[in-house]
Amino acid sequence: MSAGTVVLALVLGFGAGLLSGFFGVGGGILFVPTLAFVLGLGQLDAQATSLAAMIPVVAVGAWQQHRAGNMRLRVAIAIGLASFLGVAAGAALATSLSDAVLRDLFAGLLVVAAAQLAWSVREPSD
Amino acid sequence: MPPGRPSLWILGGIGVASGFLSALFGVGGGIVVVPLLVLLAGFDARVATATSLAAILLTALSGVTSFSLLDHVDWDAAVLVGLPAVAGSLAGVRIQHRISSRTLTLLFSVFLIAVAVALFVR
Repeated sequence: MSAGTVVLALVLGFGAGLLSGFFGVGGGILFVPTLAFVLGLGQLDAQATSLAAMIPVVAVGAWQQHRAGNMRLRVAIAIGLASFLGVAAGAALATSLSDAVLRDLFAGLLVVAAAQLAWSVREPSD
Repeated sequence: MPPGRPSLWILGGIGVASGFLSALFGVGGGIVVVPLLVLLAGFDARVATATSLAAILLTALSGVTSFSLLDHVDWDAAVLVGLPAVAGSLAGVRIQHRISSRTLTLLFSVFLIAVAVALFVR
């Protein structure tokens, strides 16, 4: 891995965190392309690694929000525990698909995310 | 149903849907949790975002456990992008009130479309 690659990965990682803090998302929609394009991971490995990369980010973010008094902890725990079922199904499906199909699906997700973001600024959301 | 007291069935449904998307796409699932908490549970955006972050933590831990058992997690790469992201996140929260969120959101949206096109043609 060249020094340039490492620097670019660090910068894009910082950028993913910046957007995570700004928009309150996990950062996965930026981690996955960074891991795939810059670090050369396959699509499935990039997606799996993205989940690992976001853990410290969301842990710090959740802690800050908890201290700020915005958190509904029991609701979060209920959703998080129920998500285990969905994760099992999603992981089974993801590992059964080819990297090419996963990449096209992910590109479709980006388009949906872009549309949702554009929609969200139609009117002041606060 | 009074606002802010969502039923367990609704929360369970939100959780299963977000977990499925999370494991299929390698994202946190906040993209569905936040709007659904607003629409179905009557949460305001700030509370929905905060609550979503804590739910994502559990979802991501579950996904990483599944995928690392199948040897799909590159830990070195995860540290390389994840640690600077923590610093970026802290900075992002600080600049939230200084930059026009509308402009940045539209730029981010355009950027996502560009990445999508790059993925399609790859």
